[in-house]
Amino acid sequence: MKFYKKKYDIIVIGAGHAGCEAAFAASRMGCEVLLLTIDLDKVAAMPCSPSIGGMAKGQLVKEIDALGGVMAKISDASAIQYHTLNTRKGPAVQSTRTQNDKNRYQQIMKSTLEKDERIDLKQAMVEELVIENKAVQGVVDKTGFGFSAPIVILATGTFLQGRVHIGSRSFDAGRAGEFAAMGLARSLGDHGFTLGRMKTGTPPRIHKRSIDFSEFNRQESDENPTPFSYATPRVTRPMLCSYMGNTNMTTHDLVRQNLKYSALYGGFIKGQSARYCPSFEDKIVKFPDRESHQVILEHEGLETNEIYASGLGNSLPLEVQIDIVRSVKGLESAEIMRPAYAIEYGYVNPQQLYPTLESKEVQGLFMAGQINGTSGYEEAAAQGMWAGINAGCKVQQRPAFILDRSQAYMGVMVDDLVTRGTREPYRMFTSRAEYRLLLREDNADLRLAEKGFDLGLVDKNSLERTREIQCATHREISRIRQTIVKPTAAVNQWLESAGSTPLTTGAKLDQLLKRAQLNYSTVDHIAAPEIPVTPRVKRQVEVELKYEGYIARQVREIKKFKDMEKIKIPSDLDYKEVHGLSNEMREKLLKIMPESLGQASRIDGMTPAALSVIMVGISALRRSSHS
Amino acid sequence: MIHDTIAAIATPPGMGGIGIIRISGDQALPVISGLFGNTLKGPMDCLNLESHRVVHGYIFHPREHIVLDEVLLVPMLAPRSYTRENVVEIHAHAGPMVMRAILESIIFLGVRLAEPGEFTKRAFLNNRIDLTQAEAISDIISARSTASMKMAAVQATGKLKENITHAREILISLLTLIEAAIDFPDEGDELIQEKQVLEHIDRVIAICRQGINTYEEAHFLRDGIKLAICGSPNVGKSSLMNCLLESERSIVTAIPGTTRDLIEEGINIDGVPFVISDTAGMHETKDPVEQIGIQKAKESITRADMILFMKPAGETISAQEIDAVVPSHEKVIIVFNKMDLMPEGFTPTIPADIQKIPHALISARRGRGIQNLKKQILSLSAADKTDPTGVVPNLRHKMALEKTKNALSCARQNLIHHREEETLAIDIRMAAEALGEITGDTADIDILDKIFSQFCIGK
Repeated sequence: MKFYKKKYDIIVIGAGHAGCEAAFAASRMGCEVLLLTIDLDKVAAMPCSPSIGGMAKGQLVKEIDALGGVMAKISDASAIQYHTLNTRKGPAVQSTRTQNDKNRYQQIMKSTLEKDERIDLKQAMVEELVIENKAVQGVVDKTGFGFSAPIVILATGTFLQGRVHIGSRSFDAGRAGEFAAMGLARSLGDHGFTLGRMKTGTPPRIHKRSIDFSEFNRQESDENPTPFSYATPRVTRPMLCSYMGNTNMTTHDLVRQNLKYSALYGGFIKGQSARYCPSFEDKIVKFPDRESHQVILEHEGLETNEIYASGLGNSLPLEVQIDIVRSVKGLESAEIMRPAYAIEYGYVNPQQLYPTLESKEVQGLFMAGQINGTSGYEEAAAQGMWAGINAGCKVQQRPAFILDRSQAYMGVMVDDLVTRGTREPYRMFTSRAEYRLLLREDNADLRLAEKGFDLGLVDKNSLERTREIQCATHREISRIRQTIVKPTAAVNQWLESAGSTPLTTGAKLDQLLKRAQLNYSTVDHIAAPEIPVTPRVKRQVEVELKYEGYIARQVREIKKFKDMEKIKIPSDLDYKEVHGLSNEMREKLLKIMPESLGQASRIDGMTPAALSVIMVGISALRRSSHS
Repeated sequence: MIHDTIAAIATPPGMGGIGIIRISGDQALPVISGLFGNTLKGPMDCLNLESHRVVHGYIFHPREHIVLDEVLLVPMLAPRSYTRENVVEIHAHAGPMVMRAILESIIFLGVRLAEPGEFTKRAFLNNRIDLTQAEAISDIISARSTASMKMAAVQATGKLKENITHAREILISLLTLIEAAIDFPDEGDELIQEKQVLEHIDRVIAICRQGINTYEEAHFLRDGIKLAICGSPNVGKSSLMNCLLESERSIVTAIPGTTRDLIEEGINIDGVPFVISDTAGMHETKDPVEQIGIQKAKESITRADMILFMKPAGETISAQEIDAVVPSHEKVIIVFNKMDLMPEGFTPTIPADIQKIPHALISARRGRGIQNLKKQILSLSAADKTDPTGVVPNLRHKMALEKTKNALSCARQNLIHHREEETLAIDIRMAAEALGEITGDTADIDILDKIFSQFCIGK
């Protein structure tokens, strides 16, 4: 077997959303990176929805951006539509979502990778992991050629033992029309990893020309959209709209009549599917009373006529798919360009990973993205970045980079995965984050830029810009707190015009700003600062003041949470010797090996008494090692 | 390590005339400054009390400044204390009402109720206890916690548990709606109707209020040692209960099976509170009403702390009969009734295998042997080695109800002022979690699971 002469610090397998961010992060930290993909024309492909962001996912993208990642910037460079979701709710639960020109996204990502001096982007199908003495040494490709590195990041997406299903037919494929990674799956099995199966799917693509759009409602892009990345000054490209329509009883009857031919309901699929992303068959079976379901037609790009038919994902035979699509009003003459399909793929239970996403079994082997049981481009990218950073830290012998649940959605996701595992493809939701009010899109850079700078991922200028926003916000908040508003006629006139009650005595400006009907424009009208503040600072001031009481509460809770995280569990604590634990709990602890009492507290079924005895165990171990 | 201030009643209920409440942690002295005074004028500054020197004085109610009890105060400053933290012990009169009132006042001032075994745990963590005892301490913590969980579960049964479970379900379904509206904005924004949410919140607040009131009116009874009287029909269970109560609570007739319902009464024997339940006679019956009574009797026996097993004097008793009711043979007194029908100087014959079980000979009708029986009950209860914090779960319930109520009042304010869903969610979640402490559902509330089962979500 021949090995390539060049020695890399890190090899990343898979150039999807996880693999790309992993490679960039590691490279920016100064590591020599080899990025391998089965098909160089499919770098950072979007095999399903053309959207990036959305609830909680938008927060992840902003966090990636704040740490110097690329997803947000390339989204901005390829977006054909912007939406801020939940504008009628508070800032903590508002998220950005773009629709992207898929080709453009891929091309920009690929050329960005190619420009990076420390990244070697190559086409190769990895068949084997080289592992000696429980430590990774490199990989070998299908031709028998090897690459060496002490660290390998697996970002295999749906390619690991992937199998595509359409009706009763199925075939090995990483995505429809692409090779699956079968050898790599075998190699993982040989090294003691148990692979589970998950299932996902994608709707059909329809030729634009064959659609009667007059039967659909247009959904326009937001006016004056806010860019995803803090580095993007403004969005100038023309935007495209989407089209909303509905299925009907005919559509539903077609599904019912043909259910036995569906891969999902015909018993051909064993993999676990996600409840939040049901196939169309699922919707009909699980909610039989619904008379219609939403269909959204989205552009796949500016240069293509392919239209993504969101809502119609299924695993039925093509002849049934054609009937189903054509039963929808406006789609009577639809030409399907690519059929919908379901795909099963292998994943590794993420409880086998440390919070760095490094495997507990094999030193130097990291995993990110769908291989960890997650779904979504953003979840993958965030894990890729996390694994890339920690791989870099390992190379440079720096301490591990872990964000906790109070610092970032990324931290919530990784902690959920390694502590609790997942039974279905894991997607981020805002309700998974207990400190949701603090983990906002609007403050991702304020939360993370310093950390990104320390790692070498964020440049000095971006950091300075972030610091300036922080300072200006604090200055303006303290000015507002000290400002007393007198009940003058002008003030009261303004208050009434804004739908608020007039003042009878003097009031503090911050109290006024907290009123439900008022926002920062009140400050501008009543007591504007001498030097006007930027819109970004206005927004920060408003959010910080309006949420004040609740933020203070969450900060108190975080203090308690951190106290528990600070109590580290020594890796040599022998749970077999800790008295008073049930056998079930002992087994879970041995499997997960939590790093702190806090992490232990989040293990499924943990009790206060069991935590207490672990604490006694830690203390006993500490004292016996002292004496 | 984590060091908030904790408190608990450190002596078993009903043992002796003095009860001890122990406070441990940084805040022990500041808290006691809000409660204790060495004159009747009111609380005094206790921050500079001398360690290990007993002070005489009074405990005042923190809000109303009435005297709760005349006590001895023993400050034991760090590190010369059991936990190596600042510890204050209050030696009060052991009556359960007094003890509870003092403990509640301490909690009111921000101290946390100690978890089972927590003082010992702290003593260990602060190197006060030898390393060799680590295992024993772990065993104590888990054993006590199992015991107190069992106790809490038993106490939260019946109507209270039903109401709380219902209230918690209301909150969880509200939370499901709110979280669905937040995380799935594409699915329609009209999931939440303000007026409806307000109605639900008010209903739960009402349930909490009711629970708190019940607690405040009746906690004395519920804290008593539970004493169940059982035996075959017409053995004189109701007569004995009346004797003990010295009143005519139960219907006493000669028809077997008259006591169809479970009757509970509180009494006080030498200052120790008891809750006596007179159970329906155990016998085969087809009468559905009686069957219910027998079922209730069985439940009451499983809940009881102590059992009086009645038998007519002169009849033989076997170990099997006891086994059927109290398999452990612990905390049971065999009561031979109707001694007035037996010849003078009669002694019951007891088989060798149950001779260790205490017994008493009485005539409930003539009121004879009752004093002796009371003594037997007392001595058996004083031998009680159960968790010294055994009186606490009820207080935990009340605290949880108050926490729920406060969180919901907050949510209510927010709703009226049209605040956003995400802050509403925080209050409602907090309330639901507090109620879960009562019902024992302390695991994370899996809202996503509820959302996916209720709504058709996703593309």
